Amino acid sequence: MAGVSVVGYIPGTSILHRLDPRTKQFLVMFLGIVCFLANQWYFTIVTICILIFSPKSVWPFRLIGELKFFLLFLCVLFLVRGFGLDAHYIPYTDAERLQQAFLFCWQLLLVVLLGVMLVYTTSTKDIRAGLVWWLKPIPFINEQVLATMIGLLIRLIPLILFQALEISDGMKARNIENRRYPFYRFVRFTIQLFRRAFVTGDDLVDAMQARCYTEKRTMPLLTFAALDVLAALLGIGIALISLVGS
Amino acid sequence: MDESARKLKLMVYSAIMAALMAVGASIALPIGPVPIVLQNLFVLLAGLLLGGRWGFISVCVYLIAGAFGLPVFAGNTGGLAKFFGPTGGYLIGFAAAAFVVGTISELGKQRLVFDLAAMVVGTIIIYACGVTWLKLVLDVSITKALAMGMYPFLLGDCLKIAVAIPIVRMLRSMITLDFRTSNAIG
Repeated sequence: MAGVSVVGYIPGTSILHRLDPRTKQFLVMFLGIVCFLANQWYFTIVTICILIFSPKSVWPFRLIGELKFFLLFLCVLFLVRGFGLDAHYIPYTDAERLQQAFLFCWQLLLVVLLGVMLVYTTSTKDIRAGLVWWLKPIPFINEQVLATMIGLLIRLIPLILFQALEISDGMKARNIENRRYPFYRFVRFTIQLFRRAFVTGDDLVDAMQARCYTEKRTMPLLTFAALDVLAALLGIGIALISLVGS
Repeated sequence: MDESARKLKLMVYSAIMAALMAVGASIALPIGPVPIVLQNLFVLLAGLLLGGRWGFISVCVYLIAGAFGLPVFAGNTGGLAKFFGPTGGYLIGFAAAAFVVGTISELGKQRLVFDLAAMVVGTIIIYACGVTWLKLVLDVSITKALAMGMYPFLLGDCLKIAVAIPIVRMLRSMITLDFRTSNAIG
């Protein structure tokens, strides 16, 4: 529990901050999918772009701290894909196998970094407005409701994590770790976490009703400027050149 | 409670369940040799507490948020491409599991034996989707895929199902769920 951290919006004036949320969402989805089709040159260019355009304050300690479990997962994946077992269960590998494993892990890391950069540089209301725009053409989905739910999800995660830490600390203070059965700790923790989360939800419903919440809400004004055109063309160009090259 | 208030409550509760799933992916309780991650327990609880339809919607909200790049999946990760990665099958399995768990529980009128059966079926669905996809993506044998993606977690899953029963019994009495029959969305 002590290592729990939240990836959240960091106010700033970097190029990524100035981009329209729709551009950033497009680039995250498009470049992320192309990661699975392209080669190492594409990975290199996208990595360099992320290093240049991302907020400098997150490198490297904050980012490593927030992705430490994922980085551990990547290490396990590298071992699984990079090494095989022969008939006597003795590990073996070769240069090509290690290279393939490395590229696979790099690919996954890039996909994750793209998403993390979106959250670091985009406020919740802008993410929500972008989602409404993207979801609007999809039939049978109320884009306003869905975007509001995703907006609530983004805002609730830090709150629930904080509540989880409080519950955990409170339980430790009451010597929960000395209980004979670990199930008891598990059950008490989960019940308290849900109870507090749903009490927060009830308060939220009251607050939203008091403010006459409706699905038809005023959206922030989104502007697709020259910088967005440039960023989108750059993203598409990098992807096309890499795909043609591979 | 009027229709708009009920709809609002449904929306907020589903968003809370989705947020709890994201939080569950970040929390590991150190019980036994493999730490227990709460994410799939929360998926099963979404079905049991909100019913099949709304449990499914809350998981879909969680998955769509992740697909748009928000770091809500395990290890603070996200992105549409995660669905094509090694753990993509589990993510799809979550949505199916929440729907099936909620539906079985509703059909069984929330009786203990039906809740238990629902969670067992839900867990099987998650592993069926997850291990199959893991095998395809990593290009390993089914034995290796099971050894990597299922066996180490089975004990933890049995524990989760065992503890989910008292949790659900307690939470159902705390949470007002008079909206279960509502059809208000979209």
